[in-house]
Amino acid sequence: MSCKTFCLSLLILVTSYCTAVSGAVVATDKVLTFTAIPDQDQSQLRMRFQQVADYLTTELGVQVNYIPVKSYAAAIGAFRNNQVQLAWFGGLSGVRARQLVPGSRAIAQGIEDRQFKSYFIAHHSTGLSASDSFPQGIAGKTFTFGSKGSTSGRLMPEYYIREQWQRSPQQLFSAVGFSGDHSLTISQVQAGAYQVGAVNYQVWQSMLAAGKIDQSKVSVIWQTPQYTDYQWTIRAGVDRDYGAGFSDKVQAALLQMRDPQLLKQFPRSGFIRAENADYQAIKETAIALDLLQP
Amino acid sequence: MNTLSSGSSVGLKLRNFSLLLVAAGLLASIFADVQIYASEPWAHLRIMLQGLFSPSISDPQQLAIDLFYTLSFALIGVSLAAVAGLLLSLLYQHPLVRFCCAFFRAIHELFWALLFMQLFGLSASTAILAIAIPYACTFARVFHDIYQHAPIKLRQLPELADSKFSHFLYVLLPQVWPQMRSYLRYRFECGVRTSAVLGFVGLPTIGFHLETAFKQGDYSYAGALLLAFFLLIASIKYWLKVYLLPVYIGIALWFLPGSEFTNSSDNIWRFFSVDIWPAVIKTADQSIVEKLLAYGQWLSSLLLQQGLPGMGSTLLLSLMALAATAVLCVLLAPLLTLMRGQWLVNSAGQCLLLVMRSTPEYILAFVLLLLLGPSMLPAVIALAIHNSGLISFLLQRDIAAAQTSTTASVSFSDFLYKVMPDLYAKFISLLMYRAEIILRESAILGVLGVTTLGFYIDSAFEDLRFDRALALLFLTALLNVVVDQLSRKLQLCFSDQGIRVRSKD
Repeated sequence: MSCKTFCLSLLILVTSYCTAVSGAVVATDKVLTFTAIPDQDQSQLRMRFQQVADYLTTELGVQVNYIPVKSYAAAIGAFRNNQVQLAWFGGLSGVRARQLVPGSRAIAQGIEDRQFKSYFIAHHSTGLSASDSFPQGIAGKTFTFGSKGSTSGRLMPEYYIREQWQRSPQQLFSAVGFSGDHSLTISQVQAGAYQVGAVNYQVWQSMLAAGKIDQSKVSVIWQTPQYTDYQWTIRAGVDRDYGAGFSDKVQAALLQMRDPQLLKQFPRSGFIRAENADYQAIKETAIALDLLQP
Repeated sequence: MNTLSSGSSVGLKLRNFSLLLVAAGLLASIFADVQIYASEPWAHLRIMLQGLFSPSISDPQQLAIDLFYTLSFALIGVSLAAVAGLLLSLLYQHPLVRFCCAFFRAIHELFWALLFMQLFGLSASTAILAIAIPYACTFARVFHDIYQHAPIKLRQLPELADSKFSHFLYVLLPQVWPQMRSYLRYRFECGVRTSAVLGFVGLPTIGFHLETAFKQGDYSYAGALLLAFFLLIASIKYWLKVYLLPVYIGIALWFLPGSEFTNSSDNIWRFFSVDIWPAVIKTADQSIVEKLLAYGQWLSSLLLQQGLPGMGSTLLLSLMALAATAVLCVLLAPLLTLMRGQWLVNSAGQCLLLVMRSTPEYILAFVLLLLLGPSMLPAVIALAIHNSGLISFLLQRDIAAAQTSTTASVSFSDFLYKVMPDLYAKFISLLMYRAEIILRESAILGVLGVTTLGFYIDSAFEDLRFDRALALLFLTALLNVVVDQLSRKLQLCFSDQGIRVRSKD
């Protein structure tokens, strides 16, 4: 008896799964979807970027939606698969995305992104203190990067470490972790779980302002030289799909963003024009570190 | 006389094997990084504990949706897996089927999810397939094991010998159905846990918000999510009835999240024709031989740089975790047996097991990282807690069965001389079965900086290097096939003899 019900349920299951999957293809209206890399404060992502979506909807006259993603790779994947047509990428993720979708372009960057930098931070028990030159004392300590695909939490710090010692972080440190995001790097170094870490300077400053950092436990010991970081990238083919000149319209809307409430979400003081060539240095660094195929 | 001598020799074998296991774990710990780094976790831990014990939730509707999707994916995924596993189990004698099952089982659900995400995006199909494929292979193996132990064999019913299917339907199935049903129920619980973990890579299950809450230090929310998750798992036994499955599945299918992802055929083609091949063989003017050579070169350098070191640390970590799991189980077993006497203490024990087996390892590792610093040690402990919780939970039933046949309460000496010898063969066989799972679970502990194969695979996915990811997944799967063969041999060696001894009693 129960055997019969079992077989019956199997039959229903298989047929209904097939119909459900085939019926899942939904026709969509013309909607522009954007995403942003989850570099910090993930629980607030939707709240932060929904306002930006509303702003773009009014400016562009097209429904603009925001979808949250869980990782840098997922953001790039969504861009590649045309699930999103516009994205707020980091330096490395932007380069990767534009390589995967040829013809895509960087259209705007934050004013601060021209002179971006990473902080090296250390737990007080290491005895390391702030210096202008590269902190030699970090060798042999435990070290955490941020996300594996982060520019400020991985690519540039690793570049400067390798440049200094000509060795990989794994050879140099007694343990190398990847915390996953910048806020987590700070809290893990603050708790002493890792002795040293590399973090996006903007995230450090906003967490400091929010009173989430105990400076008797963790402090900045070095800042990297400046590099170019985050940017808005628009997908190839939007002009075809949304009407000629659409990407310029998006660019103009981004450059005209003045509302401090909106800019605070990034956090940037304003947006300026950007182009793919601005990220050539990042691209070469990524290739040198084998984080990108030439 | 015969029984006695064979019994003692099995006992000896089991003892030696256990000692060997622990010795191997200790030996591995010499070569592995198990250093404790002094840290000051107390301030952070206090905040964490305060948060976890004062659960609060701002958006109960979201929680309900998360729980619903977690259950839906698990229900559909496990049911599909049961069907496929049932069919595969009939062919499991075939070496190719067994090989394929061990191969596909070896790949962690998270990696299946990451693979299918390239094809179907963040959709219900991704979640369901990520559960269904490895689970189908597990079902195949376990159902096959169950048939092996069916008491009535073919030769007693010669008229059915010519039709394998009738033999299955009329001889095997009626005998093993209760066991299969109970396994299905257990597997469903695993499915719910897996489904939750899939949230870590962005699928809309409870893990999505759980991971975020832990990352952001929002421990009150994390506490609420964990509590809800534990309650969900604890409640399964009250509402999961096989005859209600069609209703549940119908509801789950009806409310599955829709996806705007439409161009999946292009993606599938692109994935297999472009993504999984390294750039070195994509230049146009290469002959097949040159391509093969280039691929070989690329593969061997990948193996040398990531594959072999990754395999080394994976094996070290697994050996240590296995030994720690064994020790923890042996410590837990008497406690749980003695606890059974009293209702209240017993429920406390059950709750402990529930928490141990249901808390995702990622979260255990996260907490242990704060306490112990980055090394293999937090990974070993996290894996040991999770797996010993599971094994003890499974052994519970046998302890209960042993108890009803003897007296109401068990003393410590009863435990040592009656319960433990009875259980031990089963325990070792469960442990061997978990060995395979420990091997692949080491994949999700990259936050600890332990460079297992899983760490490199995760990095490859993060770098969008699917060529590397696939090659390393292949290596992981092959490693698992070897381990599976070994553990099968060991299981045959112990459990069959164990069973023979018992059935002679």
